[in-house]
Amino acid sequence: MQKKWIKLKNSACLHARPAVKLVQASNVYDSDIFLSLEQGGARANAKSMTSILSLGAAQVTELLIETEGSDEVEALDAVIDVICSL
Amino acid sequence: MKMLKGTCGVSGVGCGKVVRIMNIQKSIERNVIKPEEINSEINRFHDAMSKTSHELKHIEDDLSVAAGKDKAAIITAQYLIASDPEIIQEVEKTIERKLINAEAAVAEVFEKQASLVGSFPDEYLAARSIDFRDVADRLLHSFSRSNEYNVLIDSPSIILAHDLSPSQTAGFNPECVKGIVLSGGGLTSHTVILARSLGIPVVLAVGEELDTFINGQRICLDAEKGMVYVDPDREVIADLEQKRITIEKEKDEDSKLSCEPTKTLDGEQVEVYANIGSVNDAEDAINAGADGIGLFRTENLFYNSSEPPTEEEQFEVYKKILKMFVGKDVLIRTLDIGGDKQLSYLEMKNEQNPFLGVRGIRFSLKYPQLLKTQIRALYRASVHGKLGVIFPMISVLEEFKKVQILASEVQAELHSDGIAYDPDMALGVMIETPSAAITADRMAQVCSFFSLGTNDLLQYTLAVDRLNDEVSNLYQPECTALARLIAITVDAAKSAGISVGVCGEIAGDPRMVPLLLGLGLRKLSVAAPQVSLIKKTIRGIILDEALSIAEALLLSQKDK
Repeated sequence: MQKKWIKLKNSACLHARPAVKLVQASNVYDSDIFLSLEQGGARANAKSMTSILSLGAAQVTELLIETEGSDEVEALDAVIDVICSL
Repeated sequence: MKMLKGTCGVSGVGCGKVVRIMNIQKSIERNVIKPEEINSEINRFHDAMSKTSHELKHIEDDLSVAAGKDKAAIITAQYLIASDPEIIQEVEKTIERKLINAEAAVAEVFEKQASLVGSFPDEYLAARSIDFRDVADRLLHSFSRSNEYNVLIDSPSIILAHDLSPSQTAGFNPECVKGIVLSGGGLTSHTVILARSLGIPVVLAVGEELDTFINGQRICLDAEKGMVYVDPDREVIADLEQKRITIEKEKDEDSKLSCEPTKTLDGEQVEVYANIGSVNDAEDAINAGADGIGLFRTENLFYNSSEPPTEEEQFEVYKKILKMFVGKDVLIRTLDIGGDKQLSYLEMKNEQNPFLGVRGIRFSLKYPQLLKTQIRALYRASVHGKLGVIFPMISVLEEFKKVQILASEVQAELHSDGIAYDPDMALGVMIETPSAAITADRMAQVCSFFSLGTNDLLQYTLAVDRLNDEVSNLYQPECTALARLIAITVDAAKSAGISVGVCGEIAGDPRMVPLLLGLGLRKLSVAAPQVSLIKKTIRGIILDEALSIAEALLLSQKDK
């Protein structure tokens, strides 16, 4: 399992467009990918539009990304890329 | 002829036959099912879901072609909802546990989701509840054979409705749908946005009278005036046709202009570049018609991670942007950190005066390995386009000379490693301290170009922190001191035969553009959304007038 806390320079809002990018990037990988806004908080499945939108992530400055599976390292990298380019 | 008045949603004119779309909420029966029916209900649900996601995929593809991928994002989001493993599972569970029919389970699960999202205080997020309801409506229609959710329109038509869902609007073919008239007008922003991107005129808030019209009636609209004409007279049709031709012509001219060089009324050419911070921004810059990149801030590459980006990672990003702007200038600024900007993986001391402390090039020279890696990545990328590198916060010549030494070391290394690079890659100085501006003549002897960073230049010149409410009223870009520093910089560049541009916020302010041209600047770099406005502003400027504006300010004839 891979885990990374990332801090964003500009706060991001996970509404339709960013969520689309996240889901599309995550779907490429076999690993399970989860996002949470705080340690121990609700975990959103990054391959699920519904799940990401349900986080209600309006002004995100920090995010925990967890990946687990055969390509977890690459998956983590890709998701970080997407989030940093939001 | 009958006339109705509403308000303009999307301007334009159109004529066609009435097609009424009535979004009557499908009444959902809630039936109790037997345990042995669970599987067949789940199968019915899967069939409807896959029909829905296919429809949405189709709409998304068409919309991407007609309006661009970016505009299609809302429909992409709906498609992803309709193929979302989590919501599919939730509906299956609801059928199984509550022993209810598929339609009832769909209505329940989607409505719960829509209310949850709709309850978020952020309005962008809350607006997404519309998408869950839109997908649910489409899905519920998919259970029955007759599907009124997709109306097939194959001849010139005007759509009449109370409201349209995003996916319905997105599904319209602008070749056939010549206009949209809505009786309401409150919660229709998504319809307006999608219609605009498809170029379909919209009239809003026409009122309940809309219900009296019947399919097939001839109808015309002039959205700018908010007018709807039913069974229009010949003169009205002729007038509107004339207007349509004029609008088309203007559109053609606008799109032609966006590819043509930007010139003042007296023919002086000005380049309008874009300031960007990511590859995404670069795409926006291309769409906005930018003549190049005047400032790529590389800080984003260095944040958001527990370690600095590798040479390879940086190289890929720089190369990508250069390939997007073939034959055009791309100016990339090296890491500009310090002041208010910190990096988590480097220990940065708390300074009493961070804006007068270790920032910009001072920081980079303190961590030369970081700078060297970046310069190496830039040199490697330089073979892929017209690349210039800007070094931030140079205040004395000595700093730039150190940068040059680093650059020649990098060149030597690349040479011995047998890696391709452009030895003539331009190295430029960001003029953002008064001392750099005042000694610009000396700077110009050693560097290849200047870029004026007017935000910092102004704050250092006036000794005003513009984020400090107590003094921010003193932060006035239209001041003699800044104008004189810009003039000194431009003159120095001209006598040395090097280029000079401006990338501060001042360049994106249409009121300041005449002054900047008057001061001799011909390269303005602005945020991508500003590009077309600034180009338009330049096309209305007479250089002589701009010169006298600059002269008056330089001579301090104005009290500023």
